Amino acid sequence: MNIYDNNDYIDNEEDILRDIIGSTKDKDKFIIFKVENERYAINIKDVVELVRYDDEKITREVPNIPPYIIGIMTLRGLVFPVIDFKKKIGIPGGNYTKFNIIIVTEDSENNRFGVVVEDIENILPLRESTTKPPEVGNINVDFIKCISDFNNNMVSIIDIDKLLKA
Amino acid sequence: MEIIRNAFLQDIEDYVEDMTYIISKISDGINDEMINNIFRIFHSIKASTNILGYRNLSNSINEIENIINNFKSKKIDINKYKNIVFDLQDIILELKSFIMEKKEDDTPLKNDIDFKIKRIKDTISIKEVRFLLSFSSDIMKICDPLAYIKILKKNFDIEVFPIKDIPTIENINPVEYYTKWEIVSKSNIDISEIKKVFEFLDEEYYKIDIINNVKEEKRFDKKVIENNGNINKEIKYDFLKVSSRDIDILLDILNEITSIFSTIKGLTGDERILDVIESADSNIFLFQQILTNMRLVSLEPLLYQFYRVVNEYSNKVGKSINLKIIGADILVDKSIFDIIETPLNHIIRNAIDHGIEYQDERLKKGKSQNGNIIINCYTQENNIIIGIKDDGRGIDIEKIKEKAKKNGLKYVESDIMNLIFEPGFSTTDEITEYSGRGFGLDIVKENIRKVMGDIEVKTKKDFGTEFIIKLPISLFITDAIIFLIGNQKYAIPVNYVDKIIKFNKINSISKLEGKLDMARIDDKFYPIIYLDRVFSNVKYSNYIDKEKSELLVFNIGNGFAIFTDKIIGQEKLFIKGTPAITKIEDSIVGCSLLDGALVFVLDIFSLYKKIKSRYNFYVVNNEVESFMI
Repeated sequence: MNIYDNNDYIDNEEDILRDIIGSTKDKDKFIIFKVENERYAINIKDVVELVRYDDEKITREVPNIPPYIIGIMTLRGLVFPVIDFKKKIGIPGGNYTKFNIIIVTEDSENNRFGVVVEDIENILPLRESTTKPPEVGNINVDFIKCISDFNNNMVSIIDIDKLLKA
Repeated sequence: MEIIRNAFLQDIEDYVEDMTYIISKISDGINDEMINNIFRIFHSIKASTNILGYRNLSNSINEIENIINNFKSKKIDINKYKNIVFDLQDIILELKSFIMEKKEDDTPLKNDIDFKIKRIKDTISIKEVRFLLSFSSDIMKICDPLAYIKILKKNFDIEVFPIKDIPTIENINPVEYYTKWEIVSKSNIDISEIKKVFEFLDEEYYKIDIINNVKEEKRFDKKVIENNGNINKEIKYDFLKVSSRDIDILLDILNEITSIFSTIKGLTGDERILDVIESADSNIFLFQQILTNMRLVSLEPLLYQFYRVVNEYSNKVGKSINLKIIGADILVDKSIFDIIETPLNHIIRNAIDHGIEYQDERLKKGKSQNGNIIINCYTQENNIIIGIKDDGRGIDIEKIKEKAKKNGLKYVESDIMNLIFEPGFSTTDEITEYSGRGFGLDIVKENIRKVMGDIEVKTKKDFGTEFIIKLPISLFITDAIIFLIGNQKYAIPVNYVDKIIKFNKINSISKLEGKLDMARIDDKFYPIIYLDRVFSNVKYSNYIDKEKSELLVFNIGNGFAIFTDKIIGQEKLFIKGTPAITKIEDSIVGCSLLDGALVFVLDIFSLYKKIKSRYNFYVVNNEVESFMI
């Protein structure tokens, strides 16, 4: 399910986000996105806003940045790094266009950064589990907090605090 | 209640500042104005604690007020007991944390304060003297007893309470006088002095009994009698308290507006529109300046607390030290204010501990008996300088050399003092005189560099040591040299850059099979640093065609020169901190937007650290001694 209409989702994304935040008093809601048939989720409490990917706003020549960071984005006077989530999980990075979305998040130390994903699949309340992801190869999966379940599908819940560090 | 509590908390913060200000002037003596101020503070505290419902506390504070009244009325000279001011400040600080923790039960704090009050009373030896003054019942025939009471009140610092001792209605004789007076003196007075007032009255008409205990409830309301309750008028402040985060948000928004205007500038060729934008630009600049100034705070409250630190700490270690503070009213950015306290504390405590000698040692050396520490603040070019100078024994350079040898550290003679800022240098107490407590001067330096400052030290044996802390005036606006590497702009604050030199103007030597380039500038050799060897993801465009390139020369460490594609010029940069980026690469302290493009502001010191670890070299006597790439 795509919560947005194809054309004008950018205009009212903030309204949508506000509506969602307003109704999550009792249960945590998560932004769910799909990467190569795998679902990942970010707690909506960690999310500042959703913005459209814009290559012009991203500076790529940043000294010593790790490969999983695309570059530094300037948005309304704010400056923050943007993570390519695909590269973060160890697959080749995507070729992003303005139809892709940057989830702007803030970790517990108020470090702001963006996570670029192809699309957002859903926004749903999820229950966090205690299941840890298995270690696969040499890819660091520290930033996966747990694996949860929704409609008999696996969803990996992301620990925002560890995304930038690991 | 929450609003009152918060308002009270803010007031308390002001009181703490006021008290520190008073403490700062304490060495010149405490004048009437200061005592009045202290009195006003405790009077307001009493009222506020009452409103918040802490009756026990307000009783104790009342007691303090009475003590201060003794100073106010000059009954006791406060200048003999200056330490009381410190105690009073302690009480305010305790109260502050009490109010902050929103505790309900005020008895523990009350007991604590009462203990302090008792101590204060003991030091100034105030003993309450109470006596009962009674007149014979036919006194009204001879004189008005109230006249005597008035004379007593006028001449002595006493409080007078009438005591009802009226017989039952059938025994009352309307012409007889029944009231007794309890007289309480908060200071020592001689009864014989009192008796002098009654000189012209026959002894049979009056009686004075010294009493120990009087039932409180028999007193009339105090206010009926008390007439000297002239409290200083409240001072109104013309200030608003705004959170610094709000100002930061405003700065961010303003920055975005600037970049919107510069985008419009790029899109239009219309002269009229460009004119409008220009006028907007000057307004924006003004706005920026005002906002930046809003973040500036005075160093005064921070520095003045060192009077106390020095006073108490030097007493503890058995030295007597005078502290002098010059130029404390200097303004610094809030973030500098927040970070600078710990380094100053370290340096001052070190000076007390290890710098300044004991009295007998000082006298033997022909120095003044008391040690001196001077904190001197002033502005120099675009920096704020805080100098901390002591006239102690100085740092023993020989011992530093010894230690350096032991640790296998290499150094240049002129750079030797900087070794004390190296990590691990300070932890062993027998090596440098300045380190017994395990204070890391490396941490001091780290802290100062976090706010783009620097620290250096000068010392002379037996003459003393001076630490000089250099800080930027504002963290937000800095004059910086902008340079280009590839397509990316970088900036380094201008005061760190020593020289700018065109590459083709220098004699460069390739050393060690082309692995290290040296530039000869003014008879000194500087290694040329290529940032693409220090950082990944950096690409030079003039790498081969070096003729167009320019060098940025630094005199940090042994000196080095950074190779750039082009130096764009000097700009006033509006820097924003970017914690997430600094986390990735700590050489980038901030970013700035220049004509819509992102500029990375480099921290030259962490860059230097990186260079040192990447190019491991030491220049000794103008020759490269060793290197590694």
